[in-house]
Amino acid sequence: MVAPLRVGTESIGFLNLASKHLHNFTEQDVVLFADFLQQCSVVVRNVFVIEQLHSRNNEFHLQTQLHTALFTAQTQQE
Amino acid sequence: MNPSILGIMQHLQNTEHSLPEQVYNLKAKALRDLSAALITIGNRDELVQTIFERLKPIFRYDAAILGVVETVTQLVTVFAHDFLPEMLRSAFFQRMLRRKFPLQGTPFEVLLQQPAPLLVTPEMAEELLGVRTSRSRCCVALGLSSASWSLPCAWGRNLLVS
Repeated sequence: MVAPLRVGTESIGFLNLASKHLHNFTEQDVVLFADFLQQCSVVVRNVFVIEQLHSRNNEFHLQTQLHTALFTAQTQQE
Repeated sequence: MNPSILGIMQHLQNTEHSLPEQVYNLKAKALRDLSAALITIGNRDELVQTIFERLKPIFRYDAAILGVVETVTQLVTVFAHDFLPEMLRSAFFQRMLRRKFPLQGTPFEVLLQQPAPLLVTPEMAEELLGVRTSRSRCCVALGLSSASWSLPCAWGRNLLVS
């Protein structure tokens, strides 16, 4: 069974559960699965957004260091 | 998850005379507990791992895939859990893991547009065998009855139109 993760009207991902056994998942499981995804979508989005911000912040920091190093080297050459 | 709830739930699932309502209520309780636990997690890998590990005894899946879209880049990162040994040996799945995929024009885009959860039935899986894309062939060969990549194929064949 598979379902999209949604926050409001925005689709932020999906979760797929697969089984080797026929009829492993029931219609009731799908209902429970949907309820669970509705509850956890916001948490998933928040955690991933924070990680992306950290990543971009690190990139920005590295770029700043690189610019500073290049500028210093250029100044010393002059 | 409370170990006693898990134990009772597994006992009921394995008992011939189990009451579906009891199993349903216990699963609902276990999922509510999991949702509450997830709120306290701030780390991406820990979050993904917790979701997978705690959903496993509730739904008794064989393999799970979580895809998350990056808002700015519109790329999808795919996480997988409990992949079977034969799946890990598959070149297709090895290419897929931990990679970022574009969203636009891909099966992922179709997945995200689904209005509701989808239960891929054995009949649908059987139909999909006829589609014979490399992906559905791979899943069928591995014995999986439900797979996210089967969805776009099903969509194309109007199997999901109700």
